[in-house]
Amino acid sequence: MHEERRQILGMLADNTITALQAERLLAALDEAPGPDAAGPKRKPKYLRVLVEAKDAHNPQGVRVNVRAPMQLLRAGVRLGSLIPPRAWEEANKAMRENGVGLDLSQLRPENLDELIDQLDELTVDVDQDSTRVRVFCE
Amino acid sequence: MIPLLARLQLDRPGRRGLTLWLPLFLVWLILAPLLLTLWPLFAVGCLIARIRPLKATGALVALLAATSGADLAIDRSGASLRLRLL
Repeated sequence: MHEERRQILGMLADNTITALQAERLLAALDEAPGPDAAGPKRKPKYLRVLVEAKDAHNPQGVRVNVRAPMQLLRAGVRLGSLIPPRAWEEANKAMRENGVGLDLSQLRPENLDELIDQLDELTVDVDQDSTRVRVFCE
Repeated sequence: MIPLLARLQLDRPGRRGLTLWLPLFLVWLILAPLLLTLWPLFAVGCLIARIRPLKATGALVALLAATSGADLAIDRSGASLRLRLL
């Protein structure tokens, strides 16, 4: 970027271009994204769950591969917003009795939407003796 | 968009694989009159539970529409089952 600006100023000094042309070129450089500028972040579209389990009865194991659209999570969040206030109170009461001081009624759909948007960085890997579970977004 | 087709693939060792295309749009067409007939009962139930019926209906339709693109694959002992909603 600095080299290009120097070239433009050099051409102006050599009278190769006019001041107006130099100004336009410098403005174009300012608008152009840099080489390290990242493109728009691609939102994850699917949640992938991979499960591999083996046991004595089934040495080859069972493999389960589920791909769920992220839109399904968002639709589920909207469905949750339909829960009547009385149900929230009872749920909060049950959580308080178990030592969890979380007020579910304060959760807003937009908060959960934001949480879902941040799931693209989520990767869960669980490795046990004969079971492996992987959860990630793609 | 709600899923209109489903593809079911079944592979078993030593046997020819099976692929079925299920026309879900026919299922929705057949169910639509029944659902419309039952909707007033659903609305009354929502009102009793203090839930807005139209909002609940919209949320359920959105949930159904969001299943499009879902994919489930199960492999066991060489046999595999795959269901994909399109």
